[in-house]
Amino acid sequence: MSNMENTVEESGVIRWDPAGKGFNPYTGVENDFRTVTSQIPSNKITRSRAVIAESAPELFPTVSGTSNQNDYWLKLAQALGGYGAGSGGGDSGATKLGYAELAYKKAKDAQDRQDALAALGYDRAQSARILGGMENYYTSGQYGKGFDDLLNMINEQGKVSETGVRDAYGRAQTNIGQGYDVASGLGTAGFNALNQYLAQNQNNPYAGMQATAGTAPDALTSYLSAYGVSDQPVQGQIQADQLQAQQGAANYQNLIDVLSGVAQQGAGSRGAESQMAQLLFNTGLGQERAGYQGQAENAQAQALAALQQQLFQSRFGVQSDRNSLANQLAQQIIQAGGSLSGGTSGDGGKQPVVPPSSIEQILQEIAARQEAGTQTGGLSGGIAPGLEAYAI
Amino acid sequence: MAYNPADYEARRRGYTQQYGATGAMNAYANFLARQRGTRGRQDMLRQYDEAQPKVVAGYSRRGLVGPNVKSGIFSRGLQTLAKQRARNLQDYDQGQLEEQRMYDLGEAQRLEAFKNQLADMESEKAQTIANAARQLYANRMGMI
Repeated sequence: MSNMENTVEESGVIRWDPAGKGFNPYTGVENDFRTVTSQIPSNKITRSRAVIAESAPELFPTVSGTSNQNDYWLKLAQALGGYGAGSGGGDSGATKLGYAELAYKKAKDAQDRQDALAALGYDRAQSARILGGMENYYTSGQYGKGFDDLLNMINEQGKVSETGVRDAYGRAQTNIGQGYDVASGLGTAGFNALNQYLAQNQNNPYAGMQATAGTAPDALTSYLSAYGVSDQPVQGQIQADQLQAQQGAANYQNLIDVLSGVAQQGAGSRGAESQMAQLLFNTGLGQERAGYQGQAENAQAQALAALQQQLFQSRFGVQSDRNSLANQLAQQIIQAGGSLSGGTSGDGGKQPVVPPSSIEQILQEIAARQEAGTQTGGLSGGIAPGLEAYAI
Repeated sequence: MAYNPADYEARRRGYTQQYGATGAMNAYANFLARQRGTRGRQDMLRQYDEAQPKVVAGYSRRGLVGPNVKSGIFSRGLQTLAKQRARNLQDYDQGQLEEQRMYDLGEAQRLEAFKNQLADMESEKAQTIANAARQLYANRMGMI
């Protein structure tokens, strides 16, 4: 049972009863289109029309209102009604049906164009939003924030590494100084012990030696006197021998003095040798310390240079990436018709590039050309791609 | 060149022991020599003491000396004896003295050599300590 007025359902087909019957050659059933309140039999076209009507009811007043004179459905129904009633005046029923169908197709094409324009407007608005976002992203420099963070991280890491290198250098210098102090103290202690030993053990065993001539023998003076014999010849000989002995003792003393002098020179030489060895030790140790300090300084310089190189390379890499991204953004903005100076196109995606008024103008222009039967390509003011087949 | 104090102490003991042992042996030899010298001098004096009366007796048998007799031959003979005795004693004493000088000189030279050994060892030890200090310094720097 149908829920619509003035309709009957026969074999699943809704038809008007009793008047205004018409035969639809496309559906193969009779329909009454004068007061259509029922749904058009479901097929692809009617479904599309319903969807379009819901989204843009102002373009399809006939769907929701039957009193409008531009109601194509009403016209179609009237034409069919005329055909079914067998009216004698005007066009025949078939002709009316053809017009009605033509009007339907025109309306559908108009709706399709409107949909295309709406889609175009949406796409362009979306593109405008994207472009505006890209411009804002480019001109505000937000795209470089990540790179700035990376550069800051690199700089911070560089400071930490440089501090580490300098601390290592300081520790090396401290160790060099401490090692020098320990070595110098040890060597100095050894030489001090040597000097102390040499001072306490003067090697001059001849210092206390004295050459003596010995005692002269007695001249038997008493014995000779007892016999009344003079001892003068004996005394003379003893004195001569004693003199010779004294000369020998003097020679021996000279020998001792020479040996003592040699020994003293040896001791002095040994003392000088000790001082020279200590001086050589201190000098050599100082040279080694200077060498180690130089090595540490060179190592520090090399480490700092390597660090600087690494930092430069890292910065170069970040800057290169930043430049690449900026170039990519600029190219995309330029290709999308945007501006790199900022503020000339788009507003961050809040407003579409093509205002609604322009869409209306384009729509009107398309309709005018359609009415004039002209076809033009392109999206700006022409028929949208895919709609040319529906142009009359 | 590692520094080991025990090595130097061992060498010091060796040097000292050698010096002491040699010195004791030389001192004993010197003591024996002086003892022999003393005995020889005493023998010499005893011989002259024993010879003097015989010489006077010889001149007396020949009538060259006696109461109220005093010849020049006896006087010269007795002076010659005294001179010979003095010369021999002086030569003997000089010999003993020179032998003692040689001993003293030898001991002084030996002492000098001994001290030189010790001083050389001390110098070597100080140099070894200095080298060890530099080696320790180098090792410490090598670990940095």
